[in-house]
Amino acid sequence: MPFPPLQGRYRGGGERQEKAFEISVESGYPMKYRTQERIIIIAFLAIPFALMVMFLIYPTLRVVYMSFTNWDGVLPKMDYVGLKNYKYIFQVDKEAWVSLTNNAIYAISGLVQNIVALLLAVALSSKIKGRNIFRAIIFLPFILNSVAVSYMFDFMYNYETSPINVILEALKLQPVDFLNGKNVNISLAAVCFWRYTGYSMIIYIAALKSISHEIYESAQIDGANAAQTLWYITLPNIRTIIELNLFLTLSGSLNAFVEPWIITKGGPGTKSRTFLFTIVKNAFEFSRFSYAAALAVVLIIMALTLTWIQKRVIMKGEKQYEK
Amino acid sequence: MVKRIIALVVCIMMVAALAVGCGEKPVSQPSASPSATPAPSQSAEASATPEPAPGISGEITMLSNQVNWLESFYPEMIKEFNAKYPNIKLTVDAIEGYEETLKIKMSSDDLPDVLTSFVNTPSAEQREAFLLPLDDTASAGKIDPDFQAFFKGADGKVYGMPYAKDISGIVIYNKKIFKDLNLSIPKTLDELIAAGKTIKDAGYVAGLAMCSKDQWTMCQFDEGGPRFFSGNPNVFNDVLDVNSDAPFTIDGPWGKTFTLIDTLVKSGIVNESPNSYGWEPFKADFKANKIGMFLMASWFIGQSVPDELVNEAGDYVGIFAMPLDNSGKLYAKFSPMPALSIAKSTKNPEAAKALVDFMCLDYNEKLTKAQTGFSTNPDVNVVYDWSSELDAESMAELPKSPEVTNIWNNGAVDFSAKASAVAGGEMTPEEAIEAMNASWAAGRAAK
Repeated sequence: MPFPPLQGRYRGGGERQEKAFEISVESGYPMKYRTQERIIIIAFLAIPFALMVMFLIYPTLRVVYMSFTNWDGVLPKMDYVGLKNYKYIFQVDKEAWVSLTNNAIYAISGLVQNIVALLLAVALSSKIKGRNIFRAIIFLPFILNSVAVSYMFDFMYNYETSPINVILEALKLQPVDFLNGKNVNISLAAVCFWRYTGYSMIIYIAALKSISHEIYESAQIDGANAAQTLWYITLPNIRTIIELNLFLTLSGSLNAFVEPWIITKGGPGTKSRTFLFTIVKNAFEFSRFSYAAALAVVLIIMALTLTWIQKRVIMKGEKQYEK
Repeated sequence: MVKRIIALVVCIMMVAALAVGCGEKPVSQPSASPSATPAPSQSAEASATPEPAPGISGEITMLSNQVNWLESFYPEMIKEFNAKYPNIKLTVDAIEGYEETLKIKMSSDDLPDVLTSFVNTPSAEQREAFLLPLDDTASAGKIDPDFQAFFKGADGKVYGMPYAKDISGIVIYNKKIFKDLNLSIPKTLDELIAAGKTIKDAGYVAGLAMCSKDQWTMCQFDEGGPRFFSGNPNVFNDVLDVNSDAPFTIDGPWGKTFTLIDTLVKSGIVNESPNSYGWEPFKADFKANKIGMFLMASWFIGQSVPDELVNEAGDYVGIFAMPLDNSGKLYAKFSPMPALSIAKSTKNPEAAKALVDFMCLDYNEKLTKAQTGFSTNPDVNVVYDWSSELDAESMAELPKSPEVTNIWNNGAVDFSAKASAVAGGEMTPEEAIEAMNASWAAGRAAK
């Protein structure tokens, strides 16, 4: 073994550290315990840190750098143009902001998703028969690959051959046109709702487990009904988890991309384009890489701002509660 | 003891799994694509015959977008190529999502020796930067120069050699449906609508199909419409004034095109809800004889009938020129199909040029027939039983100038998106024209 065995008595600084130093000198390893500890930590963290820098930090910095140039994605020509791309975004371009309003629909669906997930979590945390099976069924859509799910819903939303429309026609009802201008965004948001409800629910179930039973028992003794229990006991106790879920939902809705790209390609016209869709289309179809980079930076800033606002709103409530 | 053995076996399996992906493959087996694309790819490889023969030698790779040819067509072509040049080792690879991947390959310096290039990708500047000029090849002297012009770089040299062309702006119709309903080929717009109504009333899915859910399928209206309405092959460069913020007008060629789409949809001959109707379901319906007519190009004929009937396609489908109005004037236009280019980074330009010349001159007829196209080589005469029926004035096509292309790209002027919105009833033609002008103005402001 390369290092002397680590024994509990020699941990910590001061006198014990000196003793460790003496022992290590005696056994032939002239290195302090702390140094050995540091070397082990660095050795284990080096590779994950290198990967993070290579695949996360460096590309982000590069995107920010690109947003100040006029690179088209292919040619080696990359000149510094200052804030030209940002001026274009805020003064001229309307399509990007219009596509942002479509993201709002995903955010609203995300809020509904959180409420439904919370109610399901409360229902499936009580002792009912088959609750594990229900939990598995509701969580299953999250495991499926998002591209495969999109292709599946592509088939489901086809006007002529959709199973839903076939059933509606058999019942002599009007078939639904899922992908026309009025319905398309709600249909696509519904796909996200179907996929992520289970995920939110599982997080809420875990959070609910952390609330002590005694509070519920004393509430029951005091005569609280189900609604009062939910509002006054459950919700305040899982406030942090609600904040986490809302953060995940909100940033997820800003990043909605797979469903519009595969099912409608932004159609009809540009009705179902989202912000990220605009970024990708600009980068790869119209060869405006640096403009797309500027849009991406704007997206990051928006996500951070919204998260900060959300945190202030929820944490403010928590402060009041604690008083 | 047992635990240790199990742990050892699992470790060996994991290391073996790792080694499988990293091992070197023997030359005679088909090799995986060297590029880092997320799309699936396969390749066919041929081995050189052991005869010593004089001539060009070396190793070259070719990249194509025809994935369906990897198993069937390319092995044959490689064999014939090696019969002429036994010392050149040729590897052919094909990928899905070709155009996007090509851009990434260009910027990461990962191009093969010979590649397929399109009219719009790479752009004129990119051609100069990444491809070799082909003006000195034998093909340049033979292939129709009007079609070579589509693949010129910004310096005027030719960077892509098109070996085939197709007819676009034509309607492909189902012969069986026409015969059953006793319909004749329409020569005016009113006749077309009448024929479409008869087909729709008889219960078929569509008289004239529009699968605008896949927006690119509406491109034929942009290819043909403005040119044919104005009778001007240079309409993109003449009408689209780079100094004006509103070059699109409702009475101009594009306005007439949008109005045509609107008229067709409102007349009831188009399938229900075009924006929910995708390309693949449409193709399945067309093969199943449920669609009367469809506006596309001649390359579609190869996909309009079940695979086993492709060689007798003329018995099942036919073509006629799309009547745009009631004037009786009918146009059809020849467009270049994807061309062959050589990368600047090639280590073996002689062998690459030999391959381009082989495909454009010796193998031209087989290549063109495989795509149901026509040849740009005047020595090669490809005729089909369905092509002789076409009765229309042939109109040339001139590419967009670099200034127009710049504004078109910078403003994201997306004709297909607006056309599909008009087809679905989301936009009126006037709103579509306004949207086109807004994009054009944004493109001008971006300069």
